[in-house]
Amino acid sequence: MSTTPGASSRWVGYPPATTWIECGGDPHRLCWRDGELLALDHEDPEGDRTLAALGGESYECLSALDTWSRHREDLRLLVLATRGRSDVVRPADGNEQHAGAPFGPPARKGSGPGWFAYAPVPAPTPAMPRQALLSGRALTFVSSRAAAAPEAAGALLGAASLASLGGGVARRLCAMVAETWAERLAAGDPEALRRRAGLHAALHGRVVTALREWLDDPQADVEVEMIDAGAERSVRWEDDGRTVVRVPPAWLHEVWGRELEVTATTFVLGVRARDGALALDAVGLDGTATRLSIAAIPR
Amino acid sequence: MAADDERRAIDEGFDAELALRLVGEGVLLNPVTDNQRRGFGSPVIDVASALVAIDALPVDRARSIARDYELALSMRGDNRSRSGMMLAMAPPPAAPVDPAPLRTVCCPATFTTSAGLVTTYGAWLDPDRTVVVLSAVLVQRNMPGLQSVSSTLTDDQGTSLPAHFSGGGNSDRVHGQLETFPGLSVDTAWLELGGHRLVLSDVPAPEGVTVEELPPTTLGQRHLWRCVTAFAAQPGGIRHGGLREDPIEAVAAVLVAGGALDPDDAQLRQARAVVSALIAGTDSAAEGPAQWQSVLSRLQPSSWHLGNAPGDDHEVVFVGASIPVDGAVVRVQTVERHGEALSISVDVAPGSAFAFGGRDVGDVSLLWWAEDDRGNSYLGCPSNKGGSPGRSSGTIQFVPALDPAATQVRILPTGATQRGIVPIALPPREPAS
Repeated sequence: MSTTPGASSRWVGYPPATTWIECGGDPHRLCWRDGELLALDHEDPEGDRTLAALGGESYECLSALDTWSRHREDLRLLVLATRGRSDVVRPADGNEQHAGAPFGPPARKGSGPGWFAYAPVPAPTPAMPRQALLSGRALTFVSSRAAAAPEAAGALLGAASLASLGGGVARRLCAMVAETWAERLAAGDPEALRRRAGLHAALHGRVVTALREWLDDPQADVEVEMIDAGAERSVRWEDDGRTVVRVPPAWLHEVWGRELEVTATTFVLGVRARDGALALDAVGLDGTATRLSIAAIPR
Repeated sequence: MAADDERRAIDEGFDAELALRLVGEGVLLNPVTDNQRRGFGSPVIDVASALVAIDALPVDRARSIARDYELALSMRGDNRSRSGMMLAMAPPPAAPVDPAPLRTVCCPATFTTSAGLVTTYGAWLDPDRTVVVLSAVLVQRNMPGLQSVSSTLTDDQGTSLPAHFSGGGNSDRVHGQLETFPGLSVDTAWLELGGHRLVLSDVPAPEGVTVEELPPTTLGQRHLWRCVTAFAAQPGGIRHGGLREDPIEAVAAVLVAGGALDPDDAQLRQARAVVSALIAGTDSAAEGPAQWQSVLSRLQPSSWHLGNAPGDDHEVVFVGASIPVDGAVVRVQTVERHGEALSISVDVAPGSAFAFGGRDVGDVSLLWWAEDDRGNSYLGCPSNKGGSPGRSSGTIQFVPALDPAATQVRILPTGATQRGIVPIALPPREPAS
């Protein structure tokens, strides 16, 4: 098992997330915990990495860690990954017979029926709930057109593979990317200003999804205003039927990353961690501001 | 307003990238049903193209964002991105391949081969390929007969190459072309097919071939009408019963938001009227440009699909006209009248200027119109395409049906700022028996 760094207070309230991927023919666990992606079934990742290099083998778990290290600031992850519980990232056609390993080499060129194929799902075992297996599917890009632009296709493959990780892992990774850019934006980083639209769109999609789930209205007309870090957050209902939500990009890692966007029938606008507990600023369905506290953090 | 002035007039407060991304989010968050889905449609690519067309977003940036959202759609399953994904991953457009000089010849003959009774009309030759246009009454029906049309072509240098048939028809008769790759001798005096020698006589280039500038318009208006025409001409459009959904509202919204189009612009109202007519399957639009009024007024919704029927008379006019249009080179090779159906065979360089089906971000491919000497207009719909990124060829099918009294047509390959004009005299019709 790889080493686990010490827990940071910034990850208070982030429960660990685990998914399964096929690695060397066996189902292995990828785990997100305290801001790190871990290959739980590799006791010595560096040693395995060396062995793999010497033996010409590949370990998909280690490829996943490498892929994440290359995409830690990649906003495309937020384009590709889930917006919330009702937005399921899944295979395009359910065809599982033309697969490549999720983080291994692409499947045989031309073997897939379309543009994508998906990693095969191992037969369920008692230790591996079916749901975990399904959510652990990873997407492999097998488009023959990838040959035309291998670097671009490879980068897309990496982001898509991470975005399709199940078990809540993709959401945690997205939250980390969002946090990086939200902080840089708040600090006035020129590069973050150039990427402001990407962050705004990522916020928009996730707030809209959460609002619709909260209101139990999949057609709800929601407008999202991305406000500065210190501005007042709010939800208001307009006479024309629109719901206008004002939140900063930090909402993505404060709230959405912790899966707290809808808690106890309230819509959560902000979360603060204090002394190992969470204080939630929320609004109820009647529009009243509410403060919730979560003392016990699931670990 | 001149285009340069208009570029400066794009609303400085307009965030084009955010507008595009929010369209992408909207598509992701609001899945469409099968009935609402467009065969080759992608709102994300349509809006990205609109933003590029009004210079609000660089093409590389727009293409990259559209690609990411098309991939995201594909990851949601249900085939929610089809052509959009293919386009998004396509290699960048290739530099145009300057087409080699084209020799166009006639070789009218009727003779019997193992395939059946073959009628040849003519051919065009260049170093890349030799193409013989023909029809055949098949001895064997269906596929075996079709395959047997493929044969060997031989030139006067003694070079023989396998020639492959492509075309269409029914179980009794087919029409299409035999092609060799590469081409046989361009200067050959004859070609042999199935033991029959075809003597070639050169076709003079048509007179009056020219190119003209399109009337000045704003970037927004221009792009709006290009969208209407492209959507109508694509598969699943006007040739196949009209449009199933409004393809221009997302584009119009972003053009208006970007300040490239006034929400009260009369042309926006007219474009919506044309689209409404195409969706409703009605034979007229309340208002709109003359060419659209002409097309819509002659459409018969019950038979919008214009096909060929057995026994239809079939005339082929060899043209061999080459003309530059907006940076592309168009070669109109043949004009065919098959019953009431008018079509042309064309060769376009670069290949990206010839769109069939979905269109890529920043697409500046040609649109196809025609006019006859009776004052009618026709919309050209690409019905097939082959070739390479540098050069493509295919068939353009025009709708509605050709006016029986027409004796001349003008083929109008139309770019963003120019259109070519290729006048063609139609052969007299066979008297009805």
